[in-house]
Amino acid sequence: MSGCPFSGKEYQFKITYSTTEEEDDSQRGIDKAAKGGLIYGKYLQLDKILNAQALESEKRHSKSHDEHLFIVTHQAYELWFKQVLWELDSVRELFIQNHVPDERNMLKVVSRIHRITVILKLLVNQFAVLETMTPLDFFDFREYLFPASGFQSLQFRLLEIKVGVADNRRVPYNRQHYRENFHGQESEDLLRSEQEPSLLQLVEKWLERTPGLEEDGFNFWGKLQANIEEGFKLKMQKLEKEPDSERKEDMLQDLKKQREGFTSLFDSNHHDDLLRKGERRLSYKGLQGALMIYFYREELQFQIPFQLLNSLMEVDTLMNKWRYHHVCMVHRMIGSKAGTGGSSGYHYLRSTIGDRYKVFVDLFNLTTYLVPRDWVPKIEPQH
Amino acid sequence: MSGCPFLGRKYQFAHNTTEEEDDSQKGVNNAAKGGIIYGDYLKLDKVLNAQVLQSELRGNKIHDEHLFIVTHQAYELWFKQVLWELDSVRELFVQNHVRDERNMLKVVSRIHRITMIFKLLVDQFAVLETMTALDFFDFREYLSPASGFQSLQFRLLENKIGVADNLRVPYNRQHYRDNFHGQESENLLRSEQDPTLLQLVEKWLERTPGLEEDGFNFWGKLQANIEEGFKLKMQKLEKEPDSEMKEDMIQDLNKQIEMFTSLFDSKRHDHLLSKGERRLSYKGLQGALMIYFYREEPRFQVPFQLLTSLMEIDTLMTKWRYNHVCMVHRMIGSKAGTGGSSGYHYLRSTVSDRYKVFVDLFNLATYLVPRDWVPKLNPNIHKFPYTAECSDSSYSSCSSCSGEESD
Repeated sequence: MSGCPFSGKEYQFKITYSTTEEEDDSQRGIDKAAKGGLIYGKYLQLDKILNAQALESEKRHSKSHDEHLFIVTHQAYELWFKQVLWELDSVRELFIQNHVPDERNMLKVVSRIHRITVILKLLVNQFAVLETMTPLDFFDFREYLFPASGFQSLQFRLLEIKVGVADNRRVPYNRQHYRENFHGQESEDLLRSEQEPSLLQLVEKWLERTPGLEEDGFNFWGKLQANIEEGFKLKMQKLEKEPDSERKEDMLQDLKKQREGFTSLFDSNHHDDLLRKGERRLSYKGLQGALMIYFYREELQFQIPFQLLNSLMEVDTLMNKWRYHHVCMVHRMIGSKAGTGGSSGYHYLRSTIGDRYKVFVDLFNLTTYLVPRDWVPKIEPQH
Repeated sequence: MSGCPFLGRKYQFAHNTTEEEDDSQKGVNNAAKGGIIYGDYLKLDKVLNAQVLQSELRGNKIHDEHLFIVTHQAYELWFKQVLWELDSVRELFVQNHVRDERNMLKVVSRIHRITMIFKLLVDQFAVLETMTALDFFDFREYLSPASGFQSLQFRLLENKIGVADNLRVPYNRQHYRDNFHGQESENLLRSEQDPTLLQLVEKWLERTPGLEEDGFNFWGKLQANIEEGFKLKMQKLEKEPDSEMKEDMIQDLNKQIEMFTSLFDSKRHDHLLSKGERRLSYKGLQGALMIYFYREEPRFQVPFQLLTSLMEIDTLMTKWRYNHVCMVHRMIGSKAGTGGSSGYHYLRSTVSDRYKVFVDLFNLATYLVPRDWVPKLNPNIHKFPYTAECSDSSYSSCSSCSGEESD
């Protein structure tokens, strides 16, 4: 017999329903909507949402079937951008209003940043739907889109700015032109987003307040520096006792390089230099706070903060994946043609992939400075 | 140093411009010269100004309600897209455009696109699942009596694919029309009366080349081969020395023979049809099995992809229902739904084969046979050549005839 559990006599569903008790109860109920009150379609304003699809190709009497998919996909992206901004603004507000020193609010912060990452994951997966459109079918209606372009998406820019993308790190075409697309109220919104504290700036201030950094207190940084110097000294001594060989020379070189790397970590002038260049984004104190949370993540008060740092890196990673998926699709769709908005198209978009737009780049780079557990300054129980 | 490839001197943005960087950054801003822009094209003034929190209207703004609204709006946007694709495919069948087999690529691509959208919609639950039951409780009271049960597009989707009215679970069957009035009610009625995807695919399957009794006569040949095949197997088995294992194997073989005998019993098929356990006509079933067995023939390759995609639609709809039910259970436990149903228990009853439209395609796997039992195609006689009964593809010079859209 077939392996299907539904085709034996046991589950044959006759139209005259032999009712089991469960089926009876589950099928009980009334239809409340008949009595008036809020209905689904009104609640969700579907008259607006579902009457917002007007094909340009149809207006020009050359209706292209796939243009509908193109429109709906972009509208779905913008809906979710709005949701991400809703979450992002609420988190920024918690920091701005100083509600985060009450650590009970940290659950909200972490949950909402995590929610943003779940949405971004969906948005990365969403490209697969538009990828069912062939370049040939896109070509049939693309001419009607000029000069509209994703480059004019206000919410995307607000997202970048509010997370913390640095203006001086934008690639030239981006930096020169992106404001020009917005006027009136939109332009004001954009300006305001540049002036208000970004997530990066708020997280930086929060990191600077990490308990344990106080020089007259636990003095994490001072202790760490001492432990690392001691640790390398011992390693060096042990290595020098070895019989001479070429391998010993190589290992000595490696050790010296590592020590140099750590020396630069404790050089605040070096940090400021990189900060100016835009290669680091956090203040020196903020960096210390982050490394403190990494090393002591299992302490109760650092567990949630550690999750937050991970989620912030996830936001960067997903934004980058989004850009990369976008660029791959655009390459397939238009090859090397210029974009409808006037950029070089694929080549411009490709230049936006990478660390320039990585806001929490320092959190990633901190793993350069991980040390053996026994080099980490011990915490006394009362701390 | 850090492992970041961008930190070396090579990419320092103190503009050491490489040629690539120069060219990629060249360009103008077209929008400055006027013309349609992004926000207008996508009517974002409508789409992005459609989020009004009930909790806020009642003076008790709950943060998570915004997520609830946007998630449902995203679902409805994609439902509209699925209906767009579905209607275009139904139209190709209804207008008989599928007789020009060049149109089959469009059919298969669009049905496949529907499955891609559904995959996304199944994944989309994960976003709403970031809302806790506790946070939902804070604003749920303001939603009554609005309910997903009132989603017109969801019903249109079910009807147009081919969900049978008499197979809907009782609460569903009794109440789902009550929610729609005026134009919506007319649309709903029309979706019940117009040919469904199932009905259109059934007619198409009945036309599968090779079924003709005075032609290749696939069904007759298959029945003969299966009878012969089992006869030989039985003879071989009976020659074995007697043993308990031999008895068991003979029992199994008899069961299989019985099952295949029922396959060729058209009265039995009609009986199951009347019960709703089968949905395709007997001839349609034969066409589907023909496509399965001969899927590698060029003429059947794309049709085979279509049958696979149709089953994928059923599977994904079921997964959608299941994901929905799991989430609802977590959110409201055993409470009644805002629309008046029993809630979780009602929804759970809809995760069933009753709502599986192309159930026959799944069950055909019951009747697979060894390759050498499949009637041979004589390449000199049975070429199944493609002969266009009409020329209708959008790429032909006929695309301008009858002022058709390039569809």
